[in-house]
Amino acid sequence: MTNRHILTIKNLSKSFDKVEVLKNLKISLGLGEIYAIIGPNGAGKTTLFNLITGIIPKDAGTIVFYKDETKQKFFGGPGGEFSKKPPGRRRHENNLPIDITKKKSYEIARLGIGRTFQGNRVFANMTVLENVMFARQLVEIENPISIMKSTHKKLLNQHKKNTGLTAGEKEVKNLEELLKQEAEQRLDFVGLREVSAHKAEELSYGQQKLLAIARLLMADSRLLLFDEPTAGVNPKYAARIAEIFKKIVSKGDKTILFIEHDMKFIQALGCKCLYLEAGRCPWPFFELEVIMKNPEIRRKFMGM
Amino acid sequence: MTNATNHQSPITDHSSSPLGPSPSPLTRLYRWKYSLLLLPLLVTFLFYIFTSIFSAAGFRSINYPLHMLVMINIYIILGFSINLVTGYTGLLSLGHGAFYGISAYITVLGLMVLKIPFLPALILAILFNMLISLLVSLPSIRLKQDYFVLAVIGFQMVVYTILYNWTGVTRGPYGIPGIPRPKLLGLWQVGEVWEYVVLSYIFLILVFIYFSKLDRSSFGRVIKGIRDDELVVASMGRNVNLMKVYIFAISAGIAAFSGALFAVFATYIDPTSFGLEESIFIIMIIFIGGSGNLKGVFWGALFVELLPEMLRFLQMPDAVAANLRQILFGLILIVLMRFKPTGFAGDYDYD
Repeated sequence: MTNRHILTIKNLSKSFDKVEVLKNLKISLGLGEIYAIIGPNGAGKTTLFNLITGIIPKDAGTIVFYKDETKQKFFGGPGGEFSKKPPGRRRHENNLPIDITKKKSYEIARLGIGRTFQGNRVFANMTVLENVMFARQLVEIENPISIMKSTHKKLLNQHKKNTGLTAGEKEVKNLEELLKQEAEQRLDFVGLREVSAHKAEELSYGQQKLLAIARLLMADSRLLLFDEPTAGVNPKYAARIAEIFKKIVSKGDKTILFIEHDMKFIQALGCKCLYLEAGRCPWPFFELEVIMKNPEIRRKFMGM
Repeated sequence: MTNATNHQSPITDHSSSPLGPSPSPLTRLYRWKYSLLLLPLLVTFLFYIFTSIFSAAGFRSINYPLHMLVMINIYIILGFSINLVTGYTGLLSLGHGAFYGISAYITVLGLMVLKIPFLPALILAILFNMLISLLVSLPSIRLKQDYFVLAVIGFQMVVYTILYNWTGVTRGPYGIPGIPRPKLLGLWQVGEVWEYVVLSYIFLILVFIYFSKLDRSSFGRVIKGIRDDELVVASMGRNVNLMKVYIFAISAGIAAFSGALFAVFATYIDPTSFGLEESIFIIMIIFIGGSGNLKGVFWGALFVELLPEMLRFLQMPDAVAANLRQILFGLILIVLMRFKPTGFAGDYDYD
């Protein structure tokens, strides 16, 4: 756990048709932490996610995201381009603050912010493996001209040079194989390896949630936003997801921010909570127990 | 559903993998899907033999099925063009009749006004089509689904009106007769019907190769993702609008092959062949045959071209046949949507 910031939100406001959904929100997130956003429905939680990821425009305020220059950019990490310099050099460029207030959603995703959606939006017609492979963006290749090249040897060799993948590893003939390997790694991480050949729509709801997590991992996002990751899953899956979250931030290079209504899940994680109510976040981050001690919150939020 | 006892490792299970086994360069030549290209030949000739045996007039000239084959190939190429936009990306386009028509007229412009040979005229038609597609896609790509469809229909109407009324250039409803037969590379003068068959097959093979490469590429995956869930694709860093503009341009370029072929094959073109009705006809190819994959296009084009022939074989007078064809199309579509929404051989179901 470091003291480095990853996201800073200042004076963020948003209203829909004169209904003020967020008012002068001020949040600062650190790297390598897990944060939970809790609050009554309609407090603006999903709106906050939509604003951070650039899906809807902001009324006022700034959001600054700290991008990792060194880690990204090899083989379609956030940024999606093949690196011209190997990672590790020019460390002072690490943690660049970037103002993402005005950026489009795909630009923000390329910087390293990923999110899941309420209710599991996966690509129903693709297999699980394809779903995960999709998450890795290859900007140089995804255009109608370069499909005529089949092996992209130059890009593959550049990737091998950048990541030090030599003859020790299993030899990959083309980028598709490489993508497939990486996707299988991610599926192993969440435990969906057995079903990777199934169509995504055949999976159970809980498995689809895991698939959404695997996709975010494949995209190598630095800031992961989860919208209700345990909504509608049984406690066994919820525990599994809690384990996965802990594993994800264990290296200290990713941050998780999630919206949740399930208090047990948050207690299992023991993470800091952000209580959002009517567009305001009146207190800084505290552990869940501390927030629950506040009788007013208990009354408004938990109804006790 | 997940079968707990079936622990087939996903690495070796290629049944539903899009990647399939890695082929050596030699086996790549013998991929089964290239046998699809023989399908038009086979079906057309079977149809010819069948109808000739059972008809009173007996065997007609061999040119007759060859003529049908050229038209079928033209419509297969159009089928690929619409399949790219509608079947793979999910953008319903009722404007491909316009692209078809524009490329036909531009080919004629090249051949008869600029007096350039056929292949340069074809390239001119392809580039012009792509340019015109920008005129459609750039304003309307941001519109939500239904409004996008309306915008494309609007484009189709505008193009038809221009072709019909700009008589100074297009001769309007009189059409343009006497289109010269193509001479390729200064060597091959295409005149006989069988030569047109070869030419149409060359174009078809080129389009087919491109399309099958796209089907298995990363770009193809992105495109299919846009069809499934645009928002998620954007949240994964893809510039969705740019992809859509690309797809529209490529689709229009593919349609140009058909337009150029048709112009030099029929040697007469007029605006009525390129109106909204034609656009609907083109959509039928993938709705009936199947969208979202390669083989659906072949079956669809064969169906829509051979059905009128079948009616003629059943001795319907032409006046009745034309209307009956439309009625039958409608009925078949309704039945298909009820029992097999993916079309006869399709992969994707519009819900």
